[in-house]
Amino acid sequence: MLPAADLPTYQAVFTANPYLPQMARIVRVYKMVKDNHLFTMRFIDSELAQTFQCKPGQFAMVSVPGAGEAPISISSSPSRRGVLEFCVRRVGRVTDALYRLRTNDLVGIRGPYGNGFPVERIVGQDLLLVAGGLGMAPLRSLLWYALDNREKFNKVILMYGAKTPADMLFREELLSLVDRVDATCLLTVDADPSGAWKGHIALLPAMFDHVRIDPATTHAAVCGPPVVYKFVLKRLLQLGFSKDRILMSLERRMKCGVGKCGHCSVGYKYTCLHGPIFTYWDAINLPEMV
Amino acid sequence: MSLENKKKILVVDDDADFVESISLFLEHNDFTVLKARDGSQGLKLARMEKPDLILMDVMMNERTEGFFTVQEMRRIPELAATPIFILSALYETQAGFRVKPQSSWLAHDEFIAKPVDMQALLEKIRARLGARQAAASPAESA
Amino acid sequence: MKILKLPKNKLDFFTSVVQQFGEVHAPVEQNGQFAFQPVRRWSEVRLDYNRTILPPKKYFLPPRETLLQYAGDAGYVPVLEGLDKKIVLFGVHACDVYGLNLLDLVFGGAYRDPYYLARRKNIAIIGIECTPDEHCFCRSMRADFVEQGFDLFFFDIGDYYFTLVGTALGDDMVLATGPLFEPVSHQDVEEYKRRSARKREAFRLHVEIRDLPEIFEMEYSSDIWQGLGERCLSCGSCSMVCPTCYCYDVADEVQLGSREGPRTRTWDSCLFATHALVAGGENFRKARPSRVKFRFYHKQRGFVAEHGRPGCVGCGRCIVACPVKIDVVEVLNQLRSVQHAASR
Repeated sequence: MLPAADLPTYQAVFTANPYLPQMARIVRVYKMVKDNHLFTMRFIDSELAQTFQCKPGQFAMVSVPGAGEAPISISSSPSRRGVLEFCVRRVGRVTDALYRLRTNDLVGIRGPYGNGFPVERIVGQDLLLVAGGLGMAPLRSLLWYALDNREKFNKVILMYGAKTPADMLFREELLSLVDRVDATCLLTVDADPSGAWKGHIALLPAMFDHVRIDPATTHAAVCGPPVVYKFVLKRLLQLGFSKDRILMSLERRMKCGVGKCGHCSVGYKYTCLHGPIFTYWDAINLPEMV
Repeated sequence: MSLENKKKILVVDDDADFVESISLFLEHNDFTVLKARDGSQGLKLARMEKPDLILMDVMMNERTEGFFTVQEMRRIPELAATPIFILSALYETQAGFRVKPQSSWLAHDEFIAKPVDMQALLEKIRARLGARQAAASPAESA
Repeated sequence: MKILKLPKNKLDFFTSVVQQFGEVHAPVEQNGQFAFQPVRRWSEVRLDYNRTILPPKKYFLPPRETLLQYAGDAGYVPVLEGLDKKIVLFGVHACDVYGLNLLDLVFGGAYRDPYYLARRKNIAIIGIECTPDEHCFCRSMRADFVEQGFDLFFFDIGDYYFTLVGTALGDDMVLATGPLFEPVSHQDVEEYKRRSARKREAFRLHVEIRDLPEIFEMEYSSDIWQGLGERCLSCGSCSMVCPTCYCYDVADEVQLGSREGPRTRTWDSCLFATHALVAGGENFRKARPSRVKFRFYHKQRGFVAEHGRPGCVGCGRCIVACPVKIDVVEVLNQLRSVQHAASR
């Protein structure tokens, strides 16, 4: 469980009024997967664009003036300054409005919020990332953080499963990782209607058969729909993972991002302050975590 | 002076004799005088008539009625800038209660002790209203 | 701490003079109940009130307020109107002062809410002692006496108000009234102690809070929540009247034909069905029993985990406001007794 002292400190710009969004321009909209577009944004204020810092796993509150605000995980790596990348699922009023915007349109951003992955705790050891379906969005920031700071980690393993190749987020980017010698990248789909897929065709948990993992020296970051959590957690526990070495990213309704509006509460914690990254130990101790 | 230029003064006081004498004095000096017997009536009249200046007694039905009436008046946007002079015998009747004469508390403009020196009051009224009139139309003479 | 006394018959003068520090608001009667309102005349003020319908939180976290204004491509601008209005809240009970101190923990902290904090700076608090009625259990919640969070605090000791001066502003208020205040004597202190002891005896409702968080964890799946869920109407009244409930909703409002509008925040409640609803349709607390349970859980246990003590101040407002008479004290005591029954 992360203590409150781990709250992010890069708030220089936002301390005066934490509710005031800073304006950013949409630099690029990449229609990555149906209803899951990747938005690249840059703050209008160039100094802010260069100095903005965040930890992998944090999120931002993205505003579309007139439509409202929504919490969206930051998918870009903190090591790549200048722009922020958000993988946005079209699922409600604000994201609908976001999808109607074009390059050069303005949005508001405030953040970064949330605890992010506990980087200080997981460096110097092995890192396993297990993503299912749309779960790759929050994990991508951690993946690139690890690859851009490769010397900080021992083994880096990614397992990612999607329904079909067309449903795979960041597909081209991840395919280019398959041949890296300094990381193990296992991409799998449940089925391949196109017939062109060169990767694995199997259910996600099967990827565990392709690697050797030492639970004592590995931290596992898992993100995906409930069915993925169910099977992957089971597998990890079978392998002997200690519950506080398994990290999960949660989502809840959020209106403030700073622990005041009350909506994101899970048990006795706030997802926006003590999360969105929780350990599996937190999960079984906090009621309502499921 | 023509009728339109006559300034309106609202006197809020429960002492009928005082009201009578000050009204006569002010009317003689070319002011139109409105009268109210207590805070509520004063408030109603002030809202309706929008006087140029208000003379407010403090102790009416209640000992501090005037003070709270002023607070209520200042919450009404149209009356927020109306000059208010507080006239009170508090100094004489309540030992130990003192309000510094030139203090700027209570969002009013002047605190004038009773019994009132009419001439001095007139000077103050003219100074306050004259200043406003001058500010409003510098080209005209009073 | 500076301690003085004010003759009771001078209280109206005191509140008049204190107007220089801000617009005076005090409890007045409204249809048989009480509410904090701007004072129009002193005789309206009811310092003998038991509780107001809404707690003083309405001054610091208004039911509805505009945070920002957005204007097309110009982005967002904070709306700071009215935050500098000076008010003097007169006649606040200890439980409500304690409630504001708890809200400070939420709205201060790592992310400081400038709207709430500006109001805290500009609204003075003058507290007054009270007598518990049949719904008061502030003593159990340790909220029957506060040592901070007020500028002045008055205790009735017969012909005088025994006065604690809490801040420099309170001191300025005393100084502004000139010779109204008098020094206290030894007898005055004795009288204060006597009355204080009598008040302790007067409480009729008691709740043991010592291991309450743990009991909440143990009874998380108790049947009691199902029964409460069936009675509860999800009206949210308990949240509205609670001094420490602070959940709010935020929305951008669109003005027809315009690209400008306000971003407003409004009171919300975890009892409302949409409280844990996310885009896409998943609702983490869809069933009403889960929401009733959550409210108690957060107030009496969650808050403890975050801030070291329960969020409840024992004012009894929720007991009075609930249309189906759900009584927090009964619920807490039932949680304890169910536990004892199960262990036999």
